[in-house]
Amino acid sequence: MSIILETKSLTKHYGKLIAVNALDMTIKKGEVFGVLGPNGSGKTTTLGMILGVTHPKSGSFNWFEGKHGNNTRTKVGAIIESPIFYPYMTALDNLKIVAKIKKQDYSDIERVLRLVELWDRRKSPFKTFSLGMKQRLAIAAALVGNPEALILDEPTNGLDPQGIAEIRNLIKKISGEGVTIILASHLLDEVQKVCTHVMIMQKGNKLAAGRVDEILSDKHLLELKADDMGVLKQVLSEIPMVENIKEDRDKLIAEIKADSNAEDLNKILSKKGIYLSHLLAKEKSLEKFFLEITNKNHD
Amino acid sequence: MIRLLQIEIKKALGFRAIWWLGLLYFAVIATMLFGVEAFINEVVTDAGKNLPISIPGVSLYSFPGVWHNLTFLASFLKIFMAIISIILITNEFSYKTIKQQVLHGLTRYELFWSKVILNLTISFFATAVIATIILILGFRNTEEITWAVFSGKFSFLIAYFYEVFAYLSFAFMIATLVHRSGFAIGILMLYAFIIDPVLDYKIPNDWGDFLPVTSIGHIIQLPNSQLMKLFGIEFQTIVAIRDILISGSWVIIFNSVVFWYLKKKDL
Repeated sequence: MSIILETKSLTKHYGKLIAVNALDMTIKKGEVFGVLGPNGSGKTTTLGMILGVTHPKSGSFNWFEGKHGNNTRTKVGAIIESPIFYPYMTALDNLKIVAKIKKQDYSDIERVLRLVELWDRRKSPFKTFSLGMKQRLAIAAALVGNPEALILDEPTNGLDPQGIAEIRNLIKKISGEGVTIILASHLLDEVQKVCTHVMIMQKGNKLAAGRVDEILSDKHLLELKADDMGVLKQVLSEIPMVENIKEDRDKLIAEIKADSNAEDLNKILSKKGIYLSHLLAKEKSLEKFFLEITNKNHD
Repeated sequence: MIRLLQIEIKKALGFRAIWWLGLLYFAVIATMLFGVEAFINEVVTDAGKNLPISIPGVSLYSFPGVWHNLTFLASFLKIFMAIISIILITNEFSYKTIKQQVLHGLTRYELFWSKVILNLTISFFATAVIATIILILGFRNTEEITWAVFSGKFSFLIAYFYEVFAYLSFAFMIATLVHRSGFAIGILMLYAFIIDPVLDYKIPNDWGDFLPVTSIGHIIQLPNSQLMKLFGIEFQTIVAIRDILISGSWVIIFNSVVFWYLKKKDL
């Protein structure tokens, strides 16, 4: 699969503060890539650098493996922080300016305004919009010119539940059209619901990166071993609380329902005549850790 | 370049305060220029009442002198143009649209040029207004118009365009460094109306000519009218290369500072 963005040792300092520290990341086509971290973890600075508004201290980044040359930036749509437009101008006029900047025809404006369901309000000044509408207009602006990648920074910040649902559905819709999405968020729940891949950041450092279902699973994972692995696997697959079984070298990894635990499973197995030589409840250290650091932030 | 011009015009014309400022400028300059001759003659006649010799009435409006006379007077109002420019440029900082434009893919190079183009456009607007007034008054008040008479001092109109642009370049630098419209306008007025003239007065010899606002003000100087001849003083008859060179250096410096700032700064 082709690479959309690759960064190498991307670094940014603000005085003595290291905002982003030697960040390596790779984002592939079709992913909904979440950048997850508490406020101040370096998410926005990272996005600023890959978008050219913030100068990196060192390191490099490369969009689309360099294939678009100087036109790279018109292939990336982006909104950072709050939706920004000329408040005195209508939605339509604002998007005309965006189209001009991106060297696009005005005809693309109707498509994006209909996609975010603001076509009927196109003649209203931006300042009369609700926050949710502003955010949708920002997404529309980012989509002018059919970008291959879309960058969204905290897109549901400050929205009411309905607005949040609208934005999340919109992200799924856009992703469904083949656009690669990079989404920065401090909400674990949001990344779990929307993203396919995630990178967790704290204080400018990458803590982990990978598939969301591997890194941020809310299921319990158990490591199991028995003398006869074949029988163990067979029996596990018949137990309702076990949702998934994977082989990991000489062990089995069983995913069990959130409301059950290792003890329950062990009881059932022994009743069925299987005695485990190894049982380990895997620490979901990352998720715990993430909740810890974000909770600290909220206090 | 056309694309950047279209973008800037769209933003400027969408902003209602610009229309009001433009209209106010037009009203003030039209009143001033259409009324100035009668005003001067009134003052001169009044002052000459007790003199033994009678002072001739002045005509500011006949070609070719009208090009010089009216551009000289209009150059006192270039602060209006600077305020318009400052408002439009600082808007980009206060709305954060300057950053958003880069996010949409405008290069920093284009960002700089779009504002230079904006300043050229404002200078062009100011020049067009003054040219219209000059043509109306000139044709109505010149008895015999030949090409030589008509175009004799046309160069002052070009000098006026340049003078406004030079002044806007100074405003451009202040606006970019300060970001806030009220603050930028305050600094510009403080410097242009107080600091620069005081320095010019205090600095010995001709060194004051090298001050930015003084050098820009020297591009079009007091015209050598009949009235001035009466006092036996020779004033400017053509635009001096020296003034163009000094102010031109400042124009390059002001715009370079902005270019450097926009290139290096995290937006």
